[in-house]
Amino acid sequence: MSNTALKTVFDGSLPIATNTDDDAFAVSGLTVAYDRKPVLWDISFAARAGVITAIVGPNGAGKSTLLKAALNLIPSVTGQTQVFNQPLNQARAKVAYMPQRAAVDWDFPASALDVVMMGLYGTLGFLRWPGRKERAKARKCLEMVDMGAFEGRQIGQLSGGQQQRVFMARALAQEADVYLMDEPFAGVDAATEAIILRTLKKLAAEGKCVVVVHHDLDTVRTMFDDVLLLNKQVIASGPIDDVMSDDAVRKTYSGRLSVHQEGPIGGAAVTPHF
Amino acid sequence: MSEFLSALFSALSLQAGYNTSLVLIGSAILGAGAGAIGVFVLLRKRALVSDAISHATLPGIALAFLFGTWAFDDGRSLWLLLLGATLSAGIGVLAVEWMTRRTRLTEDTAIGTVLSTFFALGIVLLTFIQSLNVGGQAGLSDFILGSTAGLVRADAILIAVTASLVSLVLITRIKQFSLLCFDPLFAHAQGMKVANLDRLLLLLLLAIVVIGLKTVGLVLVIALTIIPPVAARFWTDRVGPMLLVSAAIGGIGAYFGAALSSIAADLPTGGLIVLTLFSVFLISMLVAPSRGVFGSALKHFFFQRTIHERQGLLAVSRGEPIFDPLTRRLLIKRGYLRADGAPTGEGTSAAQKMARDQALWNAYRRAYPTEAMMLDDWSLRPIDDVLPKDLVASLSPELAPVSIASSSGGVKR
Repeated sequence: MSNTALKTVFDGSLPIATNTDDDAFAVSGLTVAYDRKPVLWDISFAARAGVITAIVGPNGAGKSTLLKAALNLIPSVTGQTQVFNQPLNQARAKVAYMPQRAAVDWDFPASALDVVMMGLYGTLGFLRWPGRKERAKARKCLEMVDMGAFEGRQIGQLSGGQQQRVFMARALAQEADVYLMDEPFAGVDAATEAIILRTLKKLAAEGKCVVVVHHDLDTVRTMFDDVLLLNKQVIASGPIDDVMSDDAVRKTYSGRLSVHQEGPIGGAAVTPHF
Repeated sequence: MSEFLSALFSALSLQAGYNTSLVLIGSAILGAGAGAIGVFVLLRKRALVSDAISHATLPGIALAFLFGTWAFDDGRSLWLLLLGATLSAGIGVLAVEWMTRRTRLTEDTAIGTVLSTFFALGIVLLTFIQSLNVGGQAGLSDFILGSTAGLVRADAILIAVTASLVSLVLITRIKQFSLLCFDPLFAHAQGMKVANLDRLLLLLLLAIVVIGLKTVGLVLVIALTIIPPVAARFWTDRVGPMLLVSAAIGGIGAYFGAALSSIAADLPTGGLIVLTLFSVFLISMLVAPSRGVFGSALKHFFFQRTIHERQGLLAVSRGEPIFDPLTRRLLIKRGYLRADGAPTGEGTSAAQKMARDQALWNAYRRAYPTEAMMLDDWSLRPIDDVLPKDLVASLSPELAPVSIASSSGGVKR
């Protein structure tokens, strides 16, 4: 990892990556408060292009809030977001955001293909209606997640994993440079997990920046390249091998459990190899 | 009775005079616009807001009447009254928005407070106007229950033009509104101004409610924006068709109700329109193919047969005899069983296929219990039609011994 452009600053014993010139997605000084209670405190964090970065932390650590606040979807007290060194507002078209599956009402009158085409609305003109070209593109994105056979089905009649694939296809349709995914692996079957991970890896290999909120500590090491350990503030960030130390993980989950004694976090056992 | 019917027919076929025809056409366009905007109001889960808007118009109407009487010696101009209605409803909406944003009150609480307060103020003002003994005040009560009786040509044109404009703005924003209703976070992340879109939706709703006041009345105008989309939802699973169906239902309901009231002038138009809409709703609820009551009953009937057939074939695959008369009858009818209950060749191969399918489904249920629970009766269909092929393939290795056992051991047992 020493030959990457990532600079690592050591704060005590834990590494924290800071913004460098070629970071794809960078947040600096982000603080979010609900009713005067800070939920995120002074977050500075950068994600590289070409790799998958996981945001990991206990429940209530502010993982989803970090994505939303970075995109200005919820108000923040302070903080800036830069996308390829441009302010967010000039670069929204380069960012694809995937909300949690539970954030929408799946009884909405739309087919799987309709939802994927929503990913193309941003590039369509104000008065232009999606036509044959857009349909073909949306279909291709559905096929990439093996959902081609389900394009006409009402989205409420899809299983949870299939709904997640539709969301993935919609993100693909956006053809963005930065992909911010909120819990893409939550509550999905193994085949869906595999196909989504494969798709994300392909995006990373194409030089895209992929940031994933993840709840399962157990799989972090095998699935991702970089990690941000978060618990209301940045505990550590950078390449997994540098960051995922016993010490850092314990610090992230401190007050909630003692890692080696209690084991499970959100259903996943913390294995002793950290 | 036949007199009534022929009068109704001549009204419906626009032969009951120029003015009536204009009012009918105006009402139909109003109903269609209300039905269309109602789709997004419903999908955004803000159906109650239109009730707040309509009730908040009353003080504005009363004040506009007082102003007109004082300034022009005549308070009956529809333009002036609707302007007053718009202003006070606008203040009502802003009050709801402000209370929801600045306090811990939820939107429905804020709506309840604003709705009742504005309506109370309106009623007090109306009673005050009645005590004044000025001309034209009788028409004001039309705004509460609705009447087409006082509508003149200019009024009908005002209603039609405004409703058409609202529909036009709506058509140009179908994409944005769909996204706003389905996934506002995603819409926002794409750079859409979600707050502005919400305001535009409210503004269009406000315009429809205000121009619907005179015809339908403020108590019932909410029905014009809620019943058509709810009825339309029974017929379709897509936004575009839902918009068309909802607009058609609203248009037809308003047209028919206004025609009824034109021949029975002492009955309130609003009530007639809403009752017409309700009958369309009732029919939709009963007979709509996929989501209607009869459709569901029919589905249940076929569902039961599917279960009988499936269980019968699984029994055949296990070499068990079939006792249930319906199961037996179904399998014989399909040619899977001979009349004496022995499986035919076709029956044996169908049974093997079914056993494989069932084994795959069982493997899926073991592997993903929560996922499987969400699938409802989909698991009675062939698994390859329901689940992606990579997922089915991932189940197969686990299944291999089971499928061999069931296909070879089936007849033996």
